[in-house]
Amino acid sequence: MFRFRDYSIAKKLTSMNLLVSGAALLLAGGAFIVYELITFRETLVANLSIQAQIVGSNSVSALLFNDPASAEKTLSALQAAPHIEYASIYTPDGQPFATYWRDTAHRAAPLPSIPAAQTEVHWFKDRQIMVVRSIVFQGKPAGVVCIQSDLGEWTERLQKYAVIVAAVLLVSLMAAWLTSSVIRRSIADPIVGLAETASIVSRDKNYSVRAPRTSNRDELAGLITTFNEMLAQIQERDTALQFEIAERTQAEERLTGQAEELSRQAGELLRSQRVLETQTVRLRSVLDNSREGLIVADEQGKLVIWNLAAERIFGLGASDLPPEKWADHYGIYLPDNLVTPLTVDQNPLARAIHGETVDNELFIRNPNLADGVLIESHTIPMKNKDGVVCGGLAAFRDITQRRAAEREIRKLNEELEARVVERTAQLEAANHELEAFTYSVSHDLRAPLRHIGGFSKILSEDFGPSLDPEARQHLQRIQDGAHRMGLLVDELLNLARVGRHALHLQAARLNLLIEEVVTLLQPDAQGRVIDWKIAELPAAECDPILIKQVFQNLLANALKFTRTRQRAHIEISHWQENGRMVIAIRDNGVGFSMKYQDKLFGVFQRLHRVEEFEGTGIGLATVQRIVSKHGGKVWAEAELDKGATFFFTLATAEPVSGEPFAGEPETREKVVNREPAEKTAAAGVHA
Amino acid sequence: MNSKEVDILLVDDSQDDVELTLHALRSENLANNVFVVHDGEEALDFIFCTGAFAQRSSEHPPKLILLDLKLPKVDGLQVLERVKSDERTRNICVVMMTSSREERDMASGYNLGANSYLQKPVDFSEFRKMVKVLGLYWLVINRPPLSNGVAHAAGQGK
Repeated sequence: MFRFRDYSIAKKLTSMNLLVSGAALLLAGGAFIVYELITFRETLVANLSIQAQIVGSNSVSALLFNDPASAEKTLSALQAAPHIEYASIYTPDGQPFATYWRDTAHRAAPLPSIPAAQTEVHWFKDRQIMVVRSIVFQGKPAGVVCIQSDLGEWTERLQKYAVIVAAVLLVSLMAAWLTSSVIRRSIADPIVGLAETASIVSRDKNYSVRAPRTSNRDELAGLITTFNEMLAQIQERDTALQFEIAERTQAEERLTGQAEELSRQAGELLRSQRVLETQTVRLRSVLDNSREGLIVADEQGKLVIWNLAAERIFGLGASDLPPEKWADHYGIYLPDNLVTPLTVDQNPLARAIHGETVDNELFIRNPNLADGVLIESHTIPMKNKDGVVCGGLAAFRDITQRRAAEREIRKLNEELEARVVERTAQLEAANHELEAFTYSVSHDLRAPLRHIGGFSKILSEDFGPSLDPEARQHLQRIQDGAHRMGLLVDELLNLARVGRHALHLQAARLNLLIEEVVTLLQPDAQGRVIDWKIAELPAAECDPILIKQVFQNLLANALKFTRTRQRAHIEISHWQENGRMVIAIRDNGVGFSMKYQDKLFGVFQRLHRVEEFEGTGIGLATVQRIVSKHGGKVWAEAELDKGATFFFTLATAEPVSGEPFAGEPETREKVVNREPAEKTAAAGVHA
Repeated sequence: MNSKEVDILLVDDSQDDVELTLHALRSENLANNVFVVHDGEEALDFIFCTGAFAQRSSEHPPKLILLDLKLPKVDGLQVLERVKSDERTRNICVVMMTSSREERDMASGYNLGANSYLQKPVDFSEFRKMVKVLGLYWLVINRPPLSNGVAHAAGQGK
C-alpha cells in the first residue's frame, strides 16, 4: 500500500536500518542454528554409538554365558540417559536376548537388518533415532545392540537457540532503531527543516525565514548555510524590488491623480464653456426679447450692444459712429425741442461713458413712424470690477402710448371727477331729502297717530260706559290700528337708520351682546319654559350696536314663534366656513314653508297672520341690511311646524393682545353711552 | 293769572298734544298749575316776562318746562338754548318732549343742557304713565335749587 519511496526520509532511514540489521542477524542466526543442529546430531549419534558399544562390551559375557539377566542389568544402566527410550540386545542369530524400556515394557522389536559389511547403522524415524551396533568379540559377532532414543534433547536445544536468536534479534533491532533515530536527527531533521523552509518560501513568498542550522559540520550543514545565504540574497533583492515597486506605484498614483485632475479641469473647462455658451444664448435671447431698448457703448463710444427693441424704437441698426454724430444720425431730440438734435453734452449715453447717471425722456425721430417715438431712458455708466468706468448702458422704453393713455386718463379723470361732484351733490340732496322725510315721518306722522290713539283711548275710558258695545269695539280697533301703525313707523325708521348708520367695526364679544339681548327679552319669556343653549362664540369683527340688533330681532322671532310650544328650545351655535364665522340660531317653533323663503327678508313681508303672531315684517329686513353692511349674508332653513334656523356670517376678529374686546368694561361703557338711541331702537322692535 | 304760581309751562303748538298732555296731567292731579303756550316766542316771553307777559312777576318762574321740539317761530332747541344760556333761567328744569326719535335732536337737546329728553309714546296709556312719572319726579321728588335765580337776575337786569 505505501510504497517505500513515498516514505519520509526519516522513515526510510529507520526502515533501512532495521531491515539491514534484521536481515544480517536473521542470516547469521539461521546459519548458526543449522550448524549447531547438524553438529549436535552428529554428537548425538556418536554418543548413542558409544553407549551401544559400551552396552555391547558389557554384555559380551552375558551373551557368552547366556545370562540374559545380567544383560538386562547392564541395559538398565541406560536409565541414566533419560532420552533413551528402548534398548535391546540380540543374539547373533537375531534373537532378542535382553530388552530395556524406559517407560512401558513391550516386546522386543524384531532386529533390523544390518548391512553385512557394516558393524553399525543408524537412522532417524518419527522423531526418534535408532542405532544398531554389532557386538564383536574376538573378531566374531557376539550379538547386536539396538538403542532407540527420542530427539527431545535436540528439540530442547533447538528451542533454546531459537529463543536466543530471537532475543538477540530484538535487542539488535532496538539498537538499530535507536541508532537510526540518532542518524535521523542528524540527517533527516535538517533536510525536513530545509524542505519546510523552502516550502514556506515558495508558498508565502516570505524570504525572511531561515532553515534551522544544525550543529553538524557535514554536507547538510553546508547545504543549509548555502540555502540560507541564498535566501538572504533573495530577500535583499526582494526588498529592493518591493521598494522599487512601491516607488513605482506611488509614482503611478501621482501620475494617475494628475491625469484625473487634468481631465477634471478639462471637464470643468468644457462645462463652463457650455454654461458660458448657454448663458450667452440666454442673454442674447433676453436682450432680443426685452421690450426695453438696450444699448451698450464701450469707453471709446463704440456701440457693442444694440438690441432688437432698440432697433425697433430707433428704426435703425447700430452704426459705427462717434458720439458727436449719434443725435443727428439716430434723430434724438429733447421732447420740448424737436428742431435741434441733442448736443453731445446732452446725450445721456455719451454722458454715461463719462460716469454720469441720467434719467430723462427723449424724442426719437423714427424714420418708420410719422409721429416719432417718445422714450423714457435710464442711462448709467458701466464699471469694470475695479470700479473704473468702461462704458455706458442705456435702457429705454417706448412711452408714446403710455403718455397718450395718460393724457386720456387725465381727461377721463377730470370728467369723472366732475361727474362724481355732480352725483355727490345729487346724492347729498337725495340724502337730505330722505333725512327730511324720515324726520318728518318720525315727528309728523307719529303725532297724528298719537292723537288718534290718545283720543280714542280717552273716549273709550271716559265715555265707554255710555257707548254701545259695537262702538266700543270700533274704538278699540282704532286704538289697535294706531298702535300697529306706530310700530311700523318705528321699525321703518329703524331700518332707515341702519342704512345711514356708519359702521364702527371692532372686536366684539358676541356672548356679551347675546346676554344683554336675552335680558332685554326677558319680559317676553315670562311664564314660559325656554331651554337656551348658547355656544361660546368667538370674538367677531363687527359693529356691536348693530349686531346686537341682529341678535335681538332673531331671538325675539325665535321666542315669538315658539310661543305655542310647551317647551321652547332656542340654540345658538357657530362654525367656521370659508374663513368666516357662521352663526346659527335654531328654534323649535312653528317654522315656515321653504317656498316662501325668498320673501323672508323683504320689507313688510310676513308669513303669518297678525292675529297669530304680531309683527311688522321689517325685523328680518333690518337683520339682512345689518348683515349685508358687515359684508356677510343671512339665510334661513325651516320646515312648517318643525322650527326654523337662521344663519348669518360675520368676520372673526383677529384676537389683538392688549386691546380690550368690545363688550369688556371699557367698550361696554361706550355702548351704555349710546343707550338713549339703543333703547328707543330696541323699544321700536319690541313694542 | 300773571301772579299765579306756575308749576309747569307746557310749550306745544299742537292743540291735540296739549289736550292729551293736560288730560294725562289731570288724571294724575298735576294739571292745577299748568300754563300753556303755543310757540317758542310766546314761551320765551313767558319765561323772561317780556312781550305779552311783561306784567308777569319774575319771582315765580315755572318749576318745569315741558318743551316740544318743533315749534313755530322759535323752535324748541332755540328756546332751550336761551333758557339754559341765561343765568337767570339756567336752573329751571327743562324736559324735552317730542315725537322725534332722531338721535341728532336728542344729542342737540342734551348738549344744550336739557334736563331730560322724552319721546312721546304713541300708546296713550304709556304716555300717561310717562307723564305721571315725570310730574311726580320733577315736582315732588326732585329738590330744585334754593335760590330764586330768575328773581335776582331779573331784578338786576331791570
